[in-house]
Amino acid sequence: MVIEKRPGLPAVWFLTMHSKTVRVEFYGVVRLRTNREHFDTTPGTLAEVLRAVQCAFPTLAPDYIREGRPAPHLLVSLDGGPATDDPTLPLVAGATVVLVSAQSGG
Amino acid sequence: MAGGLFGKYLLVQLTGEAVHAEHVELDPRVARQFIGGVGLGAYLLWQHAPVGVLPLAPQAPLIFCLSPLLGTGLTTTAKFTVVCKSPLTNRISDSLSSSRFALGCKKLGVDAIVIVGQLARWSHLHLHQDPRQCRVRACPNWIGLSAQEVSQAVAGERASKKVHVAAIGVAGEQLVRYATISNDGRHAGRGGSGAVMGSKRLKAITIEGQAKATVADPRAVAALARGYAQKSQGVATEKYRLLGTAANLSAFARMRILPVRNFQAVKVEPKQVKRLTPEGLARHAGHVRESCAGCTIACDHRYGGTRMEYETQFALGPLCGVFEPDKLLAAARACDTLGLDTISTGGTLAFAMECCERGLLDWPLRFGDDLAAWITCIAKREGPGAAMAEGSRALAHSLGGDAPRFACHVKGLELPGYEPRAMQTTALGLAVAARGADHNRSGAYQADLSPGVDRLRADLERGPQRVVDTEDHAAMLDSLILCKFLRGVLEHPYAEAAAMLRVTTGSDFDGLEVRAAAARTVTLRHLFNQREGWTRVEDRLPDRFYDEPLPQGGVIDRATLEQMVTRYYHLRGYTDAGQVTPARCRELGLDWVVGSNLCADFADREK
Repeated sequence: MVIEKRPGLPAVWFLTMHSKTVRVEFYGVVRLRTNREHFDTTPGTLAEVLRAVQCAFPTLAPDYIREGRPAPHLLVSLDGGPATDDPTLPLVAGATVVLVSAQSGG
Repeated sequence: MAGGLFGKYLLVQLTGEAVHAEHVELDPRVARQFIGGVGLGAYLLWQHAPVGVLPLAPQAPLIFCLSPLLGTGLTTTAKFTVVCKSPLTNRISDSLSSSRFALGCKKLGVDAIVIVGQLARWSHLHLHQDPRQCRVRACPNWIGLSAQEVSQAVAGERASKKVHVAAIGVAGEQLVRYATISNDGRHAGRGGSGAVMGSKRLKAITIEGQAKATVADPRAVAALARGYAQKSQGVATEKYRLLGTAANLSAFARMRILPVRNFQAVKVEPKQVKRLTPEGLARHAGHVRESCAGCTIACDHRYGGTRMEYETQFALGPLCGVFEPDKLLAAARACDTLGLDTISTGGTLAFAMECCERGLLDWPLRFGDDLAAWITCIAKREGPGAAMAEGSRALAHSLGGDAPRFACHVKGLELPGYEPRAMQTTALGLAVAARGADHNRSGAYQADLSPGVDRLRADLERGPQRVVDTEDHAAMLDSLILCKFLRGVLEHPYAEAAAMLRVTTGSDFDGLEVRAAAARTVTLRHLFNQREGWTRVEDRLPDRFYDEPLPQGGVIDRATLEQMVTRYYHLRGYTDAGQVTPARCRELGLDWVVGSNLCADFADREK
């Protein structure tokens, strides 16, 4: 697995693997609403991937995903890294996106 | 008097086998400046704690503070604050607890209860709306009982089952420095207020009263209460309602911010974590959901009858290398019954486990062990438990050598479940918090988990301001007192808080004034510590976090964190050394601190 960082976009990570899909992992309430632990979809920007998730799991809209963007109560992270909401973020095959309820703590 | 308040507090003095109680007027400006809760608590602690008092000395006050919103029907407001000088940190401590005891306290017709002195024998203090009817009664038969058992005993003695009881467990009797005060199955957890109550030989406090605070605009209060009750059923609280904070465990593990084995790692196998998640625990032990009195969120998730929250789950689970549901639940149950703070218990045990692993201690204690028996030893101060009852800082000092380097505390308070090397705003928040390593008075983790924040890298420019903002936000919620789980519901927190105060008190609060009150409270807490001997050296993390990078590469740069601390002080208006000047006190409306002349150094600085 090769990981490289794109200059100027500190939150962007490219993962190049043999997989041809992007994996979206669900945690917490997002998992409850989808009743799934993960979902595989085709590569694209973060907005495109979230739209695909929203299409497959309409129960996430509008509370967690709104027109391909994370709603305020959703935390999106690439492979468990820092949170991002950049809709243009490119996600290549092999990337993993983590979706978690944003309200943490306790 | 402003609505929601009574304008007085109950001063309770204990001596020998007697109690003397009286009402003391509160200057109306105090309510305006500090609102209630932790703010009022900081004010009363400053007034009643003699300078340099030992936390377990008879003169050290134990303070219960209420708020103007308590009893109004606004959701999540059935709360109170316990404030004292912490026997674990020797600094200020304020803990929140909830439910019926809070509502009972309000019926005493006061805004706070200040208890000083010490009794000759273990006793039950009965507080009455009429101070002349306050009583103490020896209760030798209650020694060794849990708080819940004491509540049952009190209820058994009375015709009415509606008895409001706060009590300590065995840990409080034994003055364990992180003992809790328990009421209605909940705890004022952090900082060791249970030991302070134990030092006064108070096993239990009961409440009797019928007073009712008026509110300025009952219809408006009722409308707000309906509105927030409805909003509290929305997506902002969904996690708390459906899963509770225990849902954090698997998410935090995935984000590599879940501390494991005394902060030696953040990597844990998903299969191990899965067994401890809400779903895993429910499958294993069954699940019921409960709520505090007057709360519409109901975040209290119990598995096999045992409450489980993220901090308990982290501290008694992965932090101690425990991944078996039965062991975790048994440990949580033991802390609950014995009256111990779960974070400090887990933190101290995890530290001792690492010491054993390194050969610094010869106790038969290893990561992954069954904790319940060890927890009992701590609460009863039996064998090695006596050393652990002092907390990880004291244990590390007694061992000397390398041990303090990996004792994971700040100011003596054990760290909560956020890995600071992978959460660099949190690192600063933990370092500077007045209470010690603290995720409740500084919600800096919220900043680290926000889009656009690279939590792996220290942000010297924006990080300190984020810490100031989250501290003020927390101080506002804790002064009103609103549950933090309501925070996602408040779109404009200070303006909405001001609106709640306006309709309750009748005073013309606005958002800016509420924010100023929060900042004043944060500074007064810091001033208390300063008065008690705090220096900048205390605002730092254990060496482990600077010297041992995480396998994934996260580490804290000592010089950068120091710079961030300095920047934080400047934003707060402190000096480079973190000292609050008399001029800054005046700016914040804390003139009386300057005039009180309680600290010689402080007076000198003004010359």
